[in-house]
Amino acid sequence: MKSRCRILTVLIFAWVATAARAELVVVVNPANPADSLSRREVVDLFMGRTQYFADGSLVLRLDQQPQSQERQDFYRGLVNKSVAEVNAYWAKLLFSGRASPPQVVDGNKAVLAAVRDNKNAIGYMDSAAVDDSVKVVARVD
Amino acid sequence: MSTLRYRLLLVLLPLLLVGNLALAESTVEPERWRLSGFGSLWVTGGDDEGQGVRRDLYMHGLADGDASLAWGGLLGLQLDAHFTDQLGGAIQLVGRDRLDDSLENSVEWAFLRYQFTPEWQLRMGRIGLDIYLLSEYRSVGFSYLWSRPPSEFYTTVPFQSFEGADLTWSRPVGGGQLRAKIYGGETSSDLKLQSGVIELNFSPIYGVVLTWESDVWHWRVAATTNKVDEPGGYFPGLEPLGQSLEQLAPLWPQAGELSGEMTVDGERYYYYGIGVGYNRDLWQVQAEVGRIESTVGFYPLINKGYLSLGRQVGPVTVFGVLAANQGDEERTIVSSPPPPLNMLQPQLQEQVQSLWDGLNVEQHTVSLGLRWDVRYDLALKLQWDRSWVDQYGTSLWQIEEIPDRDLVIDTLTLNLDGIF
Repeated sequence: MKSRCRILTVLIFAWVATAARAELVVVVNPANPADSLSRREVVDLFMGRTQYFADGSLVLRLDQQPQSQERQDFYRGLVNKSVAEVNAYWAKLLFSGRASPPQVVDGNKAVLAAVRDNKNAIGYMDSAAVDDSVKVVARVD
Repeated sequence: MSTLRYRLLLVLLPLLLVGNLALAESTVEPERWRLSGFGSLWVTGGDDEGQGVRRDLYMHGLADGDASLAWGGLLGLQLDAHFTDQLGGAIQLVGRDRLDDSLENSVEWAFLRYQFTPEWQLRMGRIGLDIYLLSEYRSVGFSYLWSRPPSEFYTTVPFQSFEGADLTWSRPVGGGQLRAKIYGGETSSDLKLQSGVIELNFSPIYGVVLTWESDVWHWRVAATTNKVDEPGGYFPGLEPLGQSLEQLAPLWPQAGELSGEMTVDGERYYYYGIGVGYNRDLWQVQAEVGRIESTVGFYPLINKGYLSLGRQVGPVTVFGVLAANQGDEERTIVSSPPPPLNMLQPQLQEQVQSLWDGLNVEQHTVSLGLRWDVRYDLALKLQWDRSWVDQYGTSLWQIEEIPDRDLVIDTLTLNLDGIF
C-alpha cells in the first residue's frame, strides 16, 4: 500500500511538472509565405546564423524577457541551453559585430501584437495565448 | 587606474543609463539603434613573480612590488545602428588599463556594414581582427569559460583591430553555417618592452578566415600576414643601439649581424591558426594550435596551442586548460666584444643579450577553475594557474630583469563578468 502511494505521488508530481511547462509555438505574420519551418530553420534564425527569410526579407526576431518561463523553455527545448548559455553565445556574435540578438518584448501579448503588426516578424509564445491574427509555423517541445 | 580612464567610465555610465531607458521604452517596431555593453572586474593574487602577469601586451601588468592582490577591470559599450535593412554600423568603446589610454585607442572598432545579399556582407572602418577563435571578443569575459583567454595563445598577438575592410560570404552547408572572409588594411600596437613603451605600425595587413559552425561544432582555419611600416628602419626605440652596433661592426663582426636583425621596416609576420570547439549537453571542449613566423631577424618563431575541457556540474561549469608556447630556434648568444671594446663599453654585451632574451616566449600553464552563472547576464569565475616559464622566455610577463633561473608562477584570479 505504501509503495502504491509513493508511485501515485510521483505520478502526480510528474503530471504537475508537465502541466506547468506550457507548449510553445513559433508564430509569424499571416502574410508570411512560409507555412511551416523546420527545427533547423528556427535554430538558424534565433541563434543568429541567418537573419533573412527564404524570400530575402530581413527578419524581425522577437525574444521574451530573460527571466520569463517562455524564454527559458524555448531555448531549453530548441538547443538544450540555459538563458545564460544562450546569452554567452550571443555575446560572441554581438560584441564581434557579426549579428544582433532578437529584439526583446514583454510577454505573450506583446509577441502577438508585434507579429500581427510586422510582416517580417517571428516570435515564440505560449500556444494557449495564440489567436487567428498570427500563423503557427513550428512547435518547440 | 589613470585619470583618463576614470573620465571615460564617467562618460560611459550615463550613456549606459540612457541606453537602458531607451531599451525599456522600445516598441514593437524594429529597433534602429541598440545600446549594449559588457564589463569585467577581477582580482588576481600571486607570489612576487606572479605580479608580472598581464592579460595583453598592450596592457599594464599587475602591480609591481609587494602587493599580494591586484585589482583590474574593463567596461565596454557598443552602439549598433540599422539605417536600412541593408545598411548598418556599429561602434564599440572599451575603457581599460592600457599602456596608452587615449580615446582613439579606446575605440575598439567602428565600422559601416552593407549587406548586398543574405550571403554577402561588406564592412569598412576599424574592424576586429579575426585571427583566432576568440580574437574578436576576447575582452568579453562573459562569452567564455575562463578568467582570461590562455596567455600562451592570445597574448602573443598584441593588436585587436585594424583600419580597412572585410568581405564575408556565408551560407548554410551540411547542417551548419559555412563562412569565408577576406580582409585587409593597416594596424598598429603599443608594446611594453624592457626598453620602454613603443608603438609598432603595420601596413598592409591582410588575411583569410574559413569557419563552419553547427549547434555542436565550430571549426576554423585562418591565415594573416602583416608588413612592418617603420620608416626609421630599426625596431622602434632601438635606433640608438642599432646604429651603435652598426658602427662597431668592423671591430666586432657579430655586432653587424645583430644590427641587421634589428631592422624591421618592410619585414613580415605570418600568423596561422586552426581551432575547434565542441559544445553539447554538459560538455564544452575547445582547442587551438597556431604558429607565428617572421622575417624580422630577432623575433622568434612561435608554436603555440591550448586544450580546454569544461563540464557542467549542477549550477557551475568546472574546467581545466593546458596551454603552451615554444620558440623554434636556439637562443642567440651574444659574444663578448673584442678588446678594447669590452673595456670601453663593458655593459654592451649584457644589454644586447638581455634584449634578445627578453623577446623570447617559452612557457606552459595548467589552469583549473569554475564558472558560475549567477544570473542570465552575470558570471562569477575562479581560476588557478600554474605557469612554468623558461628563464629566457619571459616576454609574456612584465618582469623588469631576465631572471637567473626558470620560474614556476602560481596565480589565483577571481572574476565577475557581465553583459547588459
